[in-house]
Amino acid sequence: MKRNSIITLILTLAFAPIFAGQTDNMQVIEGAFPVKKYDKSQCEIIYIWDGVKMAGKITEPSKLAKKKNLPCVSVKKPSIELHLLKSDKPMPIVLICPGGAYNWLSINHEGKKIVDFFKSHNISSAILRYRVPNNMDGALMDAQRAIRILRANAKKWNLDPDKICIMGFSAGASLSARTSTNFATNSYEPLDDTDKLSSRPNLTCLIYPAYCSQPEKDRRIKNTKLAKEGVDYNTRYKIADWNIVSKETPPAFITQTQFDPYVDASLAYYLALKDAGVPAELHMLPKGAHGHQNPKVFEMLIHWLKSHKF
Amino acid sequence: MKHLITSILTIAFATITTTLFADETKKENVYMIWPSGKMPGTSAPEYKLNERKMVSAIKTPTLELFLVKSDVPTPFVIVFPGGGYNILAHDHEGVQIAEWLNSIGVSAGILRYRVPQNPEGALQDAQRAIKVVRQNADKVYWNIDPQKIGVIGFSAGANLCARLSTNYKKLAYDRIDNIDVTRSNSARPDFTMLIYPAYCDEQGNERRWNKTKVDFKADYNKLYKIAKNLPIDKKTPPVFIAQSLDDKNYINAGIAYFLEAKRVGVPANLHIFEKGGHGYGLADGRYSGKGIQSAWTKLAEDWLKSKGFAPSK
Repeated sequence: MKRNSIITLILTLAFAPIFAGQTDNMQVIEGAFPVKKYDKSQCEIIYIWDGVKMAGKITEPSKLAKKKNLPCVSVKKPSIELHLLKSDKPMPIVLICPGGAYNWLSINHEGKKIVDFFKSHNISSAILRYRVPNNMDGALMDAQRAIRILRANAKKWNLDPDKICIMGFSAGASLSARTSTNFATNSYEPLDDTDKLSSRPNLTCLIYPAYCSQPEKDRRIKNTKLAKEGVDYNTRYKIADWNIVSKETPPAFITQTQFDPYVDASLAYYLALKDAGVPAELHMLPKGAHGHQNPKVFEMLIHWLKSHKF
Repeated sequence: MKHLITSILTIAFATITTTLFADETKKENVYMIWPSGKMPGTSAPEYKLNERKMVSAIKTPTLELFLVKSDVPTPFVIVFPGGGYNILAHDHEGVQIAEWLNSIGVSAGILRYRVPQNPEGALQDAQRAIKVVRQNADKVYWNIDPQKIGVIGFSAGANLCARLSTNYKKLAYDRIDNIDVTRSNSARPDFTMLIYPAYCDEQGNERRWNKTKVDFKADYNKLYKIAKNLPIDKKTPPVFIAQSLDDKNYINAGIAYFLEAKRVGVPANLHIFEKGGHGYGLADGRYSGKGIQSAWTKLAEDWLKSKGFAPSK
């Protein structure tokens, strides 16, 4: 037992920088929050497609990802890891979507650390393990059903069904954006009573998002090249077609850094919300690589959540 | 009797002179930026206040100093109040801002630039003011670090800051004296802070000066096109922008400046809050209500500290 934990510790330390970032041409860095010792007994794992036939397909992990020893390179049984806090009133909850370029899940830096952050602010949260690798359709189905499951069990888990915030990092932010803008259509045929509930999150939080602009989405899906920065804002900041922004899109909190190669995602989503008349808060900073979590911005996030009665 | 009168007169004289000339302890001081009779361009015939006690006409542009005491030379920020280039919101976008800057260890000076309707004169005043500050930086009373002189502006004042930050290479007036001739007195601010800026987008600028209509439903290229008179390039100072999304008439100005700065590679901060409207100053409850947008001062303070433009305690 002791030997296993030593090996785990060494592997974690050795690969910590990789855990912190993404695979596609991203500079990888550590986060700003300390990782506390993890107590599995404090959380409950809910398998999203328990009791029904899972919609969509599953994909096999790539050999390259396996070689790099990244966490969660293959999710075949998507789940919600609940971290519920005690309260006499129904609580709001943040559904956390880790990033990983839709190929793996940055489960520590963009999952467990964030759970701890919200715990310290007395906010319940849950980590969504959505289908990877390269399963954009499956991921959206998992996210939509996850929101519905939270609502279906609101009474049991003491949640306020009108206070669900979906929060994502990098590719997880892309998924959060898609979940926030595709609630008007079902990504899969309704399977049970749970699927009768709305999959619309009440709030959206995007931290260094990716693929929210059409050029970025094209690069991810079709491998097209990203054009050099020019004056054509219409093309550069065009909202990706897998985000249908309207007046009903939930309010959002968005942050990114200027020299992050994926920075256009923030602006594409923000400008689309502005056009549609949806309230949103934006914090663009110059410094910080993709993956950098700025504590001051996270403070602003708490203020923003509280201003929306979280 | 004679001794008594002499003593009283001496004491009276001493009291009067020390209060009049107590420069070491006085925090405020009004400095005429142009030598007498040498101001370029025109100005209003007399100083005026409107019915809301706001400055509505400037005859003599001045820099009102709010200097902090410090063992080391301090950063300095020139404060540009707003008012649509028609008035100067001198209190909540002037004095209150200078006091806030002092509270974080930064010296300040409120520029009463020429209004109304005198954008050329205003730019001349801005360029001259920053040169004046640089020239006096090493004086004991001023005690300023000449490489840490920035500008902060509100609404139209922010537009003037933006114009100064992008039009510093060419002097907008003929050189007058030593202050203008000294090569090291660059008119370039070391940093720029735009709070709910106005007219930085081409449409907004056209509306202000040519009364053309703004098409709020235009595409991004038209909506966020940077104003022609703001040539942002790689050497433009780093910028901090704070605005509110519901500032319907002016939000495009902040976004336009940011997108152009981003395109060119100038480090830029952009903080847009959902609410707040326009013209809230510190938003600490004195002028307008205290809302989430009041966080801009904390973000600004962190930004200044991170760049060494405010002392970290």
